[in-house]
Amino acid sequence: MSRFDRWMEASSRSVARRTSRRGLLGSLGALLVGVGVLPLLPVARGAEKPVKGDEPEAGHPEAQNPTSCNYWRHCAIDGFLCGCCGGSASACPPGTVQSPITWVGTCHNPADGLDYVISYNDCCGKSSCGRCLCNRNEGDMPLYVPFRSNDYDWCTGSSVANIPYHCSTARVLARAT
Amino acid sequence: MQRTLSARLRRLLWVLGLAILVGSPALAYEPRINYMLECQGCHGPDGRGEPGHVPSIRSTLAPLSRFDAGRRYLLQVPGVALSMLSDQDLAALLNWMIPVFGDIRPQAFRAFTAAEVARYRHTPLVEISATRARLMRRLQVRQ
Repeated sequence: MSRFDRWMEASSRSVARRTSRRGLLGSLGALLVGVGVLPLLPVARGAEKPVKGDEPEAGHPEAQNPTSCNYWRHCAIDGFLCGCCGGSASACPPGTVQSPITWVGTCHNPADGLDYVISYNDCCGKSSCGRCLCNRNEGDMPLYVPFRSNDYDWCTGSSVANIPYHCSTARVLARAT
Repeated sequence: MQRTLSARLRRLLWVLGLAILVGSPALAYEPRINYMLECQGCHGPDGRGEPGHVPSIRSTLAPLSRFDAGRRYLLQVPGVALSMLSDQDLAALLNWMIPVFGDIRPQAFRAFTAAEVARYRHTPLVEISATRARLMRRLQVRQ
């Protein structure tokens, strides 16, 4: 027992010799200031990413309704919504063919605060659907910037779907990272 | 005391600097996403294109990257030259595409640099189809 006492005494004294009483307070203070300062830096704020499960952003009340023009995936669409034409936001109606050549862009989903790559594949082979015309055009450029213009009819220029335009889908390809 | 304070400050700065480096947001999309946004609409998810309308890039991309005239064509073809990407992002995209679609090892071709992209993309290709046909003939001879 006395050996344990001696060892305890020796180690306590050695700790007391090597450290100052205010050292701990100083380190704790630096840690507190450091933790507090980091989120104030502009870079740290820019790096913040919304976490899934956070409060949803306000967005449009119809942002989660796939048959609404205000559905989040329709941010750059220009055409009739396939969801109103017997198909869905990601599938062509029966009797039509999906054009393999398509317009691709990104849309922001207010529900999880993330951006996604969206492919606007046209469905072809029947005359125009005529329901739910939606023309939102976010990020759309004039025709003289051909790679950023959504005014093209994608039912032309393809061997399997070189036929009349019916409606447009908005498929999610990936998260835009 | 002065010395330990400055040492401590230096350490704090290092930690903050590291945290900033690690936490910085990416400035642009990664090449895979840029391929989707800039190329996939016509060339398709696997680069096969659309027979008779959009050429496949699977068998031509890597061979064209092996000689100067081919590399120049890859940078001047309108879809590449007129894309909205910076020279840096365009170089990164091509360096991602060539091994993925050409099915070769990343070391098996000479990587593009932003400087090489900048040198050629601003000179328009006037006779696109004729240049392509000439290069395709040259590829057949080389194979």
